[in-house]
Amino acid sequence: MAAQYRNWIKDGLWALAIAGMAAAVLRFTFGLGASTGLNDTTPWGLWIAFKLCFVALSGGGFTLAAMVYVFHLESFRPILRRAILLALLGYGSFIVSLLFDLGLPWHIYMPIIHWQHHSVMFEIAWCVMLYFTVLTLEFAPVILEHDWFRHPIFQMIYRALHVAVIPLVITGIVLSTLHQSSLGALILIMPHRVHPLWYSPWIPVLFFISAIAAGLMALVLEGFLVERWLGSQVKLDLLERLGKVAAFALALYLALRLGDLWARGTLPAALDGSWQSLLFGAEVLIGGLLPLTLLTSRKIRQTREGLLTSALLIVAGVVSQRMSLSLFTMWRPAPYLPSLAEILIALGVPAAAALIYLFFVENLAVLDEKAPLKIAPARVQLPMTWPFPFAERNSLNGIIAHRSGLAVGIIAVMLAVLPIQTAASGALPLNLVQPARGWRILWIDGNRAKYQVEFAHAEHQERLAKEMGSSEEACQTCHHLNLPQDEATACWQCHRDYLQAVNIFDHTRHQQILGGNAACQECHTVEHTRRSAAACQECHETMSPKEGQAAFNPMAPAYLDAMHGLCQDCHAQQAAAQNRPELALCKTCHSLQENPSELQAAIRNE
Amino acid sequence: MPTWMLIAKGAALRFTLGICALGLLRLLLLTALDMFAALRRAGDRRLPLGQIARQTLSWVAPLARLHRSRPAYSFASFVFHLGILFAGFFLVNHLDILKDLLGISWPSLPKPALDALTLAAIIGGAYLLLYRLYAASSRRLSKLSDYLLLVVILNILLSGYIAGRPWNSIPYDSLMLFHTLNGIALLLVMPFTKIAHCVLYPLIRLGSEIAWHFPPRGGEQVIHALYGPEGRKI
Repeated sequence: MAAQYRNWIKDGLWALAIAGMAAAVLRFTFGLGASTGLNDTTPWGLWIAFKLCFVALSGGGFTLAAMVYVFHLESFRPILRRAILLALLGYGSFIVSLLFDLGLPWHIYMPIIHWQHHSVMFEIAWCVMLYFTVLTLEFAPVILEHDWFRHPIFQMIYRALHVAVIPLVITGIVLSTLHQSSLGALILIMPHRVHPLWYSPWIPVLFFISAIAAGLMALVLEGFLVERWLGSQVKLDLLERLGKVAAFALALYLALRLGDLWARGTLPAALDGSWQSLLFGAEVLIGGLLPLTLLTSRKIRQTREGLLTSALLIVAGVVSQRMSLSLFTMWRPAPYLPSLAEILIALGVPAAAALIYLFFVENLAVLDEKAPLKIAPARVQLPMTWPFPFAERNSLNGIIAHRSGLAVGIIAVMLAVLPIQTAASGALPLNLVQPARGWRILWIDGNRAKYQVEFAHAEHQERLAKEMGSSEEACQTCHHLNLPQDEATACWQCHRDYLQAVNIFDHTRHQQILGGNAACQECHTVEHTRRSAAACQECHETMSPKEGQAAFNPMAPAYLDAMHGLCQDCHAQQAAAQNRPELALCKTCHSLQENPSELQAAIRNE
Repeated sequence: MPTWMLIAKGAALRFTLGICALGLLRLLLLTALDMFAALRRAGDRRLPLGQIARQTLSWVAPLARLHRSRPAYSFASFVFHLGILFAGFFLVNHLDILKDLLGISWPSLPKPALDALTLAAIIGGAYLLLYRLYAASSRRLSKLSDYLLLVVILNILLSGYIAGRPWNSIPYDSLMLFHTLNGIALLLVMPFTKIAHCVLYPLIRLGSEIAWHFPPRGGEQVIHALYGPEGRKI
């Protein structure tokens, strides 16, 4: 591949990774609720679906380790390191993604201390931790072969790892077998959420077998990609034999899956014409039976095109199965739409993993056990190195200049597109208040949620008028602010949003009426800010009808807060003064909720 | 909310400040990296570092130098910079926006004082523009962007200054929209134009000082120092 294209692809991966990091800052600063589309009833989203795929595509690691070390198929040794690296990065992506999904990510170590041996998650946590450690130890010799690790201490570790390799590999095989299947076992505990065409009591086994097929075919795909990247020769004969092994696993997986559906009588659902049945059909036929047929033919298997096509189809088929289970067909009480931050993080993690992969492949002896593969230095002028006059074309400084320029651009775009201010303020979309209706009895239900309050408006007014000796004063007890020319402005006219404080002052209109720029001094002192503005009452003398009533603040509190604030203070005082504690109870006003049938009747009468 | 305030408080401002702040930070780091690389290649240990540091500091606040050459120009430039810095960083309205955005703030200066400084900056800036246009030596050195940047800055200062004046007949909101758009344009181009001297200035001075203090016959090694062993032509 031309150096220029390699740079473009790397730039794209960097851009995704940086965007993901920016979204990660949002997620960790403001929490899951503010940054994702997930909630208590929809805890599984895009991240989980991606995680299941990462693990499935890492299946090549333990399969190849078993083939080389346990079954002594030594001819596969040249691609063993790549398989381990792919599995290491797949599991690394899993762990990093998990940190985003956990509500309290700093508690990730808890399963080590608190043993919940009844929990599937407990088993998954331990297997992932241990298998990731095993993979790191399996891959460590590749890193230790680098010139930087000549020191005797490193050489000692290197030799120790060589001695320990067989126990490590066996531990790894056991752990990943447990783990691949226990991910499937997660589905077993929520059959009610899973579509019947994807659910199966055999699902742990299905997960394990399909991971073998998908993992091996991911290795085949990776072989072709790496070949294009480095311009090296692909070991077609080896990949072809991987295809053969994968075909056995795929056949077993399909037989088990379809057989189970048939035996339980669910298979006819595949023909009911729903979109789920079409997805299922495509997954099984195009992502399963078609590549199986292709792979069974030795002639097709031995061609690059045939092998590549079947690899793509099988990987797509298994990815579709994982995604369908955890994302597409999963039952949810409300529709789920991943937020931008979720999508960016989901893509950023594998992008970062791909960059680490490329770094290892280009600098370590991953492909060849003797020496790292040297690729010819790129002779292209990197853009965005301005103004870095001394940057050599491919010097480290030139690359720093280029990538940091990219980072600045991406982060700035993220600052614009990610809902930072919304998340920071907890601001919601506007929820305009529905006015209360009635007069003698005022039906107050600002969000029309049917949890209304039946407010005895006339009774309050008459009683207060009697107590105060003036009906005008009685009104002013609650109607604390009147719009110009009004005498008892309704609550909702200023408290316009149900849940948020909103600005109700129209600056432009006041400015026009008062005479444009010549009129600034009418309201403002020297500084032209909101803080320096005169109070409304200074001009609108009748706005605040009673002395000492709340000074006008242009940010009108939320309807919910305003109504509760208005009633509760008075009720609490009266409850104490009259020694009638029931006056301050919720049900004094929200009495209709006591008896749902009464509420229904009230709504009907309304 | 008027359009200009939506711009001044919304996504456009976040994008602009991201480009401006991170872009300038990047330039600062890259320039420092670059200078270290050049110094390392020069490999000369006889540089009078103490003297260089003193000289650099004296240029960062060049009050004592104002009268030495072209005093009128120097004074206009000084006043121009002073007005921009004070009006930009200590006007209460600017600080309100910053507080909304980042939650950080610092004490503001009284409006009348800033008004006076802004007026001085406008007069100083106008002098700089005229000087650029009418002094042959300066005109020859000027590019289109030099004029444009100066005009954009003058736009900002002028629109900000007259927006709230009673004698001004242009509607307040229109002027503020003009002010905001010019401001955003200026912040956006900062890391890509000579205005980057707002953060690079100390390093630029440091670079010049180092260059002035290279030892005799050091010039023979300059190409090597700047471009490494390959010695490509500048």
